[in-house]
Amino acid sequence: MTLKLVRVDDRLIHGQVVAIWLKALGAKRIVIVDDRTARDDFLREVLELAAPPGVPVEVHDLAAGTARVKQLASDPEPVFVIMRSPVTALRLREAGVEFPLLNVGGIGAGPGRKPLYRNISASPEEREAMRQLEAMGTRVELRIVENDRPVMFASVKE
Amino acid sequence: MRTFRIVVAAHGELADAFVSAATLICGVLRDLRAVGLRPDDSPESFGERLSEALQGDGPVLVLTDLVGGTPHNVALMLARGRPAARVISGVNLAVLVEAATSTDALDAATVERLVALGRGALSDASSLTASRSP
Repeated sequence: MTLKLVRVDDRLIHGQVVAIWLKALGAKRIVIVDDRTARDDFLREVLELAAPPGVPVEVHDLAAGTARVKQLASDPEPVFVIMRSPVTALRLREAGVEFPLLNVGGIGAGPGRKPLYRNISASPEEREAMRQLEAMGTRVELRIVENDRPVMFASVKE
Repeated sequence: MRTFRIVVAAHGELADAFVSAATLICGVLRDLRAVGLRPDDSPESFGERLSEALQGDGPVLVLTDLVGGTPHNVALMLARGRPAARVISGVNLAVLVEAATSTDALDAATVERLVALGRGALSDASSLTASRSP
């Protein structure tokens, strides 16, 4: 089991991710599972360049990402998996990818979303996905950067 | 006279602080703008302000603070399709002052020179002085 962390962050790779999380986790590879980014050659290139040298970035759509993450979970290399939405995390879990913890670190405000915790917002569908993940045995924590105190989704939901 | 505009894109107050520090050294500088990423910004809301700052005639140099950070990622995306825009990451005061006082055209040679100067500004200063002390 070398998925170091499975994170929901709608900015995918950004300052907090490269400067804090990557170092704290000691991850050697970033896997982004996101249909929109997988379709956008330029955005994919930006994200590939966003990681420090020596940390390869892979971008996959949900179907390819599910297969790839399953494969990497049994590989010794420590991997950091990032997606935009808890709904994607639920799809991975439903497809048989095992992870004991989902870190939710960034979901911006947007249409249909209401504030959940600090700068994290969520839509009813996203809340339902987090509830279902918990029901399947994956703990869901709200934690923006590594040295924040993790707050469990179970303790804040309405 | 500088032949290009400069936009500093960075996290928090850093962009404004870079402009303020450069002004302290160089005096009033024209065509120099700062766009800072606020804690409540999304890439889209930051992108709107950066895009607005990039509007204008002629070449524009974007200096970003951190490779992989949102200001940098968004700057790269906005610079796409703008042949007159160049992005340099890892801004420091030395490179900003040099760029702000440059009279060169914003071409590949100038960008290369600025990057080299910025890299050269970073040194293990203590070991340099230690080797000179008795």
